[in-house]
Amino acid sequence: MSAGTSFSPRILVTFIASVLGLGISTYLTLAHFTNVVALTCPLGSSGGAIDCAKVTTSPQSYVFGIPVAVLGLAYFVAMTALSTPRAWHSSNRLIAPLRLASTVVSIGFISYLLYCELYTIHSICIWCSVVHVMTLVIFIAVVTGWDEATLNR
Amino acid sequence: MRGSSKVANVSGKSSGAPRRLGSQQPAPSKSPKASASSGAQRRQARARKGSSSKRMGWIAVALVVVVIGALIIVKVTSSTSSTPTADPAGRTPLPAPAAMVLPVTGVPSSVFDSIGVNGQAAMFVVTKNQPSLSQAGKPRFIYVGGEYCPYCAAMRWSLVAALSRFGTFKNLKESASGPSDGDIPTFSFLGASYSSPYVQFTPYEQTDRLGALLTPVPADVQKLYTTYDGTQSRSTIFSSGGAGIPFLDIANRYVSAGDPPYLSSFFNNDTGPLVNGGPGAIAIAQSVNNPNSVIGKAIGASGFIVAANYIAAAVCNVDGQMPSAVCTSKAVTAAKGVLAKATPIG
Repeated sequence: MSAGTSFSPRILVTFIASVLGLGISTYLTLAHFTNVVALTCPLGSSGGAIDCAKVTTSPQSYVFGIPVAVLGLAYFVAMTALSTPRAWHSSNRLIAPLRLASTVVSIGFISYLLYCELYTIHSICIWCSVVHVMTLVIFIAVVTGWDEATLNR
Repeated sequence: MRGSSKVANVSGKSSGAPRRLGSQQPAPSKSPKASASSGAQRRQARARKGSSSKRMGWIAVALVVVVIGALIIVKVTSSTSSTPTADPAGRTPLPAPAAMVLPVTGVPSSVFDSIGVNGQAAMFVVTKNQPSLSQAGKPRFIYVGGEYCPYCAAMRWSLVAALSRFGTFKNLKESASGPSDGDIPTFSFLGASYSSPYVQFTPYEQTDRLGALLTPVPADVQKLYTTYDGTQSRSTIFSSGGAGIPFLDIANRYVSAGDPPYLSSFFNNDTGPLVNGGPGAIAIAQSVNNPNSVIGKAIGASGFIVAANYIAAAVCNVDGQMPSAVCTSKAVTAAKGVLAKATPIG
């Protein structure tokens, strides 16, 4: 396997986290827009501390008029592409800064969403929390891997 | 005798070919040892740079973890220290959040008017020859229900929306119908107050979420309930469609037992859109405020507004058509028209 397609541990972590986040974001987006996919909330109950419906239908589930689920989906589509071995090993000077900037913006965004869940909505969405964890994992892998990202520049 | 002299070369040696001053000597080619040395220097510089960026990265991670951790810790410690928790029986419900109250108490007039009665039948039985019911110089509006009751849960959304047009609720609580009765999010009137210059609203919740006795119903109210609603085994001429809660009595002029179809559909024998919480209390509240939203349409929130319009029409008919802005509005006028066509019973 050539260097351009090899999975180092860091690349593997970011890629898997991106794919998982992509899957859950897709589910949340479908549940938001259709009645075909129902939003089921593991461990949740109406009005309780864990209430996925309460969170995903709250006013805070829209940012600048766009559903948060859609924003998350867009982020994970991009991050999945930016997390492939080819992207990590690319000599394109734009990819590494773009990946870094995306993950920094995303970590700020999920901090805001977490604040809303805890202090405004007073409920947690399990699925959203899994997505937040994936975002944090990607953040850690990317910001500590700048030298690996710029190896071929 | 003069002789000749020769100046001898200072060095005593004769020079070879003339030498040009200032000329550079050609650079000697690099030896392998020198190449390896500069490559190692570049690698060391790169390693130092990489180590620095990794350190910065971990500092950034630490900052983020601290911020997120602080958010969680502050929330957990403040929750355990000061925020009361609701009991499962609903005997001490928590205050309803503003995000749940404000959309329902502030439904725009345009929403009431745009929905109207939507072709739905009146939810009241119109009475005749009944004694007038009043309290504190105002027409009295009695509600008897139960915290467990899913139909009462649906009705309370409409009651709050309608009565907010005539007065002000304070200290509304958040609750839900019984865990085995749909768990439908709703308001609770326990500990709440209502003030209005037009109508005296007196709610009574007989039982808690688990069916245990909660608020004893005064004897005069119980008598009205028996007269206009009935008992578990017997309906009356006013409740020929079936006795049951919620029971509404507006000045003995308009009475109702149970829910009309456009409210009972929210429970629909445990299959309705609000069962098990539906989209949540806040989303339901927003749907009452905007029944044409995506969620509003999905749950059929227009039913809340239809009931609220009939409630408003009944109150207008007993309080002297006040406030006029409400009582002359398009939707209330339409609801009054339907009520006027009903055959009074009594």
